[in-house]
Amino acid sequence: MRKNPLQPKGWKIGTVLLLPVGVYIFMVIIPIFFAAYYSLFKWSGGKSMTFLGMQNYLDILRDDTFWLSFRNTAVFTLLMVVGQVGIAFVFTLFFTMKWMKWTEFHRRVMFITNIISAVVIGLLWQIIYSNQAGILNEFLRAIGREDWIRPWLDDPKIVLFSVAVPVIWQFVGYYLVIMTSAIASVPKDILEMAEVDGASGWKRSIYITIPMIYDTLKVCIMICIAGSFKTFDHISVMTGGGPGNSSMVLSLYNYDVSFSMMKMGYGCALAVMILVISLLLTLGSRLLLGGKRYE
Amino acid sequence: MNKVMKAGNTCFHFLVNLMVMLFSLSCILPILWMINSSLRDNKDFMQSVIGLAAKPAFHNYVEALQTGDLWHCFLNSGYLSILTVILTIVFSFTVGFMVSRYRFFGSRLIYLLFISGMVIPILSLMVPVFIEFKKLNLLNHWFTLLFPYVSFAMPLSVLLMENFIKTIPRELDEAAYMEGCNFFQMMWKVIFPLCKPIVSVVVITSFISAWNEYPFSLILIGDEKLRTISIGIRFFGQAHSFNYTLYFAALVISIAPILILYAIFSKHIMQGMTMGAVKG
Repeated sequence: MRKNPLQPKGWKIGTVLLLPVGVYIFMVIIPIFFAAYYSLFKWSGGKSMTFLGMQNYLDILRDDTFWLSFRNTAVFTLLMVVGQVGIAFVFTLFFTMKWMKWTEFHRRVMFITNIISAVVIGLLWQIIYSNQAGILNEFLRAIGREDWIRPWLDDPKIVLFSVAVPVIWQFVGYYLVIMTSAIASVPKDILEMAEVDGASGWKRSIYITIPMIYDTLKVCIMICIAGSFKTFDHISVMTGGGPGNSSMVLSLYNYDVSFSMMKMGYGCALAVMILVISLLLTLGSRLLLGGKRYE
Repeated sequence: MNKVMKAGNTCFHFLVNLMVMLFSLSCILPILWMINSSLRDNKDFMQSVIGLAAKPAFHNYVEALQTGDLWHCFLNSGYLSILTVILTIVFSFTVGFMVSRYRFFGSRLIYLLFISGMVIPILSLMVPVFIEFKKLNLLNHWFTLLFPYVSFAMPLSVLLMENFIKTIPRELDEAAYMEGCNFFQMMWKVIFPLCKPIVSVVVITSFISAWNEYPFSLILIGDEKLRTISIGIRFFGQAHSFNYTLYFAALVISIAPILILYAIFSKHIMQGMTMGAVKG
C-alpha cells in the first residue's frame, strides 16, 4: 500500500494509539513476562522469595496431578471436538436436505445456549444432575430405567463425561450456525445444478456440500480445540475438579495451585507450561489441518 | 422394490427430523424448566420437580432481589458491561482506523499484536495478571475488571473493524478535509457513522462476553460490594442451596438481560458471535 498523503503526523498517531495499545499490552503481554520471572522462584505471595531456577518446571514434570489434569484436558478436548463439531457437522448435512423441516427454528433455538454464561450453564446442570431436584433422574425414573441412575457428578469413573455433556450441549449450536452459514453463502445454483445432474441427497453431500464447507470445518475444529483446552468455568462450578482430582483440568489446577495452595511461583511455572502447550497445540493443529485463516 | 425403499426413506427422514427436534427441545427445555420452576413454591417443587406452575407467583423474584447482594451484583455487571462496550468501541475503532488507513512505524506490529490475542490463551495468564494487579494496587476497584474485559474483547473487535474500514473509500477522508473537518471530526463524524453495521456486532459480542465473564472477576475482586453477577450467583447458590425455586429465580435474573437481548436481536447476535470464526 502506498503511503496515505493525508496521514497525520507521527506524534498524533502515537498519542491516539497510546491508551488502547497500552492497556492491551498491560493485560496480555506484560503478564507473560511476569509469569516467566516469578516461575523461577518459590513464592507464596508474601515477602519471602527463594530463587529456584528451573526447579519449578522440573517439579511439574514429576507432578502426578499435573499429568492427570493434562490427560483429563486431552480427553476432554477430544470429547469436545467429536461432540460439538461432530454433531454440528452431521446436523448441517441434514439441514441441506429438502425433507428437513424448520431449520431456521432449530438454528435459533440451538444457539440460545451459547449466549448464556458458562457459570449459569454449570449451575443449571448441577441441579439437573442432582439427586434431589434433578430432572435427569426424574426422567430416567419416568421411562423405567432406574438402574441407570448414577451419582453423576460424584462418581470418579464417569464424572469427566458428566461435565463434558453440558459443554457439548452448550456449543453445538455455535458450530451449527457457522457451518450452515457457510453453506448458505454457497451459490444456490450450484446445488440446483447438482440436483439436475442427478446428484441428490447423500451424493450431493459427499461430492458438493462437504468439499465446500471443508475449510469451515477445519476452522471449527481449531476453534474448538483452542476453546476446550481452556475450559474453566463449567468444571469449576460443577465439580471444582472433584471428586478427588478426577475431573481436574489444567486451567483449574493452575487456579487451585496458585490461589488455594498459594504456591504462586509454582503457579506461574504452570501458567508458562500451559501457555506453551496450548500455543503448540494451536499452531500444531493449524499446520496439520493446513489452514491459513488467521493470516 | 422402489416402494419399499421410498417407505424406508420416509421413515428415515421422519426419524432424523424427530432426533433434531429432540435435540432442539433439549436446548430450550432446561431453560423453560428453570423459568417455570422459579414461578413455583418450593414445597410444591419438592413434591414434583416437573409440575407446571399452575398459579405463577413472583415472590421468588422479589425475595431473590431483596436477599443477599444479588441486585448489587446485577448492577455491577451492568455498568461494567456497558463501560466495556463503550471503551471497546472507542479503542477498537481507533486502532482499526489507524492501522487500516495509515502506514507508520509499527503499524503492522500493532495489528498483529491484537490479532495474536486470538491465539494466546489469555485464561492461562490468570496468575501473573493477579500478581501484576496486586503489585500495582489495582485489585478491588470499581474499574479493575474493565482492564481484562476490554482487552479480551479487543482482538476480535480490532479484526472486524479493520476489515470493515478497509472497504470505506479513502476519498471520503479527503472530502471531509475539504469540507473543513479536522482529523478527529473526519474520524468520528464521517467514518464512524458508516461503520454502524460492524459497531453493532462489536456492541453485542463485547456486552455478552463482559456480562458472562467469570474467572477474572473471581480472582481480581474480593470485595463483596464489587462482585459481578457470575460470582454473585455462585454465592447465592451456596447460601440458598435448599430453596430451589428461589435459586432458580436468581438464575433467571442473572441471564435475563442476555435472554431479552437475544429475543430482540437473535439474528444479529448469531451473526455477530460467529463472525470472528467466519472472517478470522
